Amino acid sequence: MSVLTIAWYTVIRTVRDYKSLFIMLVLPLILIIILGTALDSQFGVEDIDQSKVIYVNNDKSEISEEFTKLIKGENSSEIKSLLKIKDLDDLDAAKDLLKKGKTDFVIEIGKDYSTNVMNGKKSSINIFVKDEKSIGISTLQNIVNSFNSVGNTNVAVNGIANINHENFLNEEPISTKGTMPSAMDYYAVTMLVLIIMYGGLYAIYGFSEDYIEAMRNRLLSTPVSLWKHFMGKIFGVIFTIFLQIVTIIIFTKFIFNVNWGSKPIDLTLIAFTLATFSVALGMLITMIIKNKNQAVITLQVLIPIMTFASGGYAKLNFDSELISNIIFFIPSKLGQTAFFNLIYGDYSNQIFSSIGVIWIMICLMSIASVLFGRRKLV
Amino acid sequence: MVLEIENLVKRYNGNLAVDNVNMKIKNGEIFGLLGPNGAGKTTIINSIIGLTQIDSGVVKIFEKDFIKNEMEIKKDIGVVPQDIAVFEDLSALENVEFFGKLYKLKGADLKLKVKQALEFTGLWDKRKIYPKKFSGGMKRRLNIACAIVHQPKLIIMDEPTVGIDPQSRKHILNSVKILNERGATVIYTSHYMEEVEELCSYITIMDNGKIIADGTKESLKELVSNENRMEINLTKIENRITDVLKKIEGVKEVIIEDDKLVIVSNREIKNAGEIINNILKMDMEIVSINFEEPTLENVFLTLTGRKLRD
Repeated sequence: MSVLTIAWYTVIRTVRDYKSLFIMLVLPLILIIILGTALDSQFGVEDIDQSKVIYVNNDKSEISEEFTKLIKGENSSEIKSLLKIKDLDDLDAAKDLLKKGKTDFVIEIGKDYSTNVMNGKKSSINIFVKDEKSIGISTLQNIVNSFNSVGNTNVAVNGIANINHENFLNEEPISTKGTMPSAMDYYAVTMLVLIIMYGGLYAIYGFSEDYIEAMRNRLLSTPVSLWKHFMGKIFGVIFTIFLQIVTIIIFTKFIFNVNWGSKPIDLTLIAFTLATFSVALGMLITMIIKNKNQAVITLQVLIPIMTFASGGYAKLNFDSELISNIIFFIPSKLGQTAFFNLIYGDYSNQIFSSIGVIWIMICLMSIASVLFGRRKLV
Repeated sequence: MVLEIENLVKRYNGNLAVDNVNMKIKNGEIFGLLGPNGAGKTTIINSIIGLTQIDSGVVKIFEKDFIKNEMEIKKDIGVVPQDIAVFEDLSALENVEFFGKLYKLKGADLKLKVKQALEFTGLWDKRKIYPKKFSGGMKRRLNIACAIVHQPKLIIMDEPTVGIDPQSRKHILNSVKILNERGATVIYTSHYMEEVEELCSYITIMDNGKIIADGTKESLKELVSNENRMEINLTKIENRITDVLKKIEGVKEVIIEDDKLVIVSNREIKNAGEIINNILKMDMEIVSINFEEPTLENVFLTLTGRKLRD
């Protein structure tokens, strides 16, 4: 109960800081408009190489033949230009070629596909992918989804063992037009991540006031334990940041027509993770520096650097693998990667890996905060 | 006993802040903790409420070991910290409500006690105003309201009148008396001896982390009752006068304060005329002469050779 009380009053107090609230809500919207408009030309549809596809159709009935026509682009020159189809009867041989890199995808239709569809049973068209960040995957998914309005599509992902962290860095257009991020879409994500990171300022304000200044003694003289004070404050700040996130997402979705994907729960999970990270970061800086103004300056310097390095202001390309690897671990980059893959890629492995790394950071920072915080209690 | 402290020792970086202090506070007392800045008063207060980890000793509150029963004991303690600790972005009402909730008050009981606390401190009419618009005195009163909202049995006030106007000071001192009359035991720390003298039924004087005297104000004054204190204001003072006057029979101490000479003498020996003669002989013009009644300030001066507010 005390935790909720502290959390609730933290929310009230933070929301009443109208100046900060204005900056936290209006600043990202302005930046999204400016950057999204000024840099729109850099976000056009890029040429996509033709993908090699091995097509294994063991059904050969009327229904699957319709799909064959579709996938071979008999009625669409666009599909024909995107996919180079090669027929094969043996699925194992096709998979073997996939593993050897001789093809980008394998599409398989089982022998009972049409029968199952006709009988209303579960039926599937399987797509095997070696590299789940392959540019053509969304094209294929779109084709299959559009065809398979009756049956269920099961996308099986192969070759997981070959995935390395570079896969998670993927922020390039990963589908054909219609789902590729525009400049507005891109900066909506990067500016949201920027503002979430700035949420750490709330944590600095809150923790420096309560655990460095006079208020600490008063709060600790109440019959509420230290960890409850901490948790209440943390929940309150996270909730406030979360309110801002929701406001920005709703505003940009309906006013700027920004694409936030179709998975609000996953979007919420990523936003919650980043909000928690920013609070942990603010808390750690406060506990180390033990001076409100210096802690604020530190965070205000750190966040733009993180945002710049992660391509938040302008997309950056680094040839050096080492630099790319370092940038991958920048929290802003992890957050952007998670958002982009959710909205445009649907690669759950990449999303959860990014979030997982952030949660590890949160845990480490929380432990460090407690250790540094205890030094104050002499 | 409301509070018992046995052999309390606290060091900061190896320096003794509290040196083997023993203290007992009876139920219903206004207990004064008097001493200059750095005497160890706040360290003792922090030790009592668990803000400082003590190096050794035992603190018992309400007959219970504090460390073993910390949360239970804290429910019945109200702390008015030395620095104002209220939220500037919550109204006076919200501030008091917040602390009431931390002390587990809720519902109608919370509303009633919040109203009582704000009325008691004279802030009910200003309950919707944010503290940033309050004067220093009003903030101090809100500071108190937050500490007494749960109607604690023991109220600890650490220098509650620092830096406020006389009117607010008077209000706070009266409040302390009323709270005590209602049954609360009060620990009152201050370096203003007038306040302690006016309020407290039992006084402990501290210096350099040690208790140098304790008792009722009357018993403390008796420590210096065999002394006469003569204050002589002069137009100018020559420093060598101290050596001259100290040679006079009965003179114990001579202190120069700006244009004033303070001479402490044995009450039994009548030496005022000789003192005045010696001053006049040195061509120093006397403006006024006062004979002082003993005060706690005199007690501290006699015991330490320093003034309380040096």
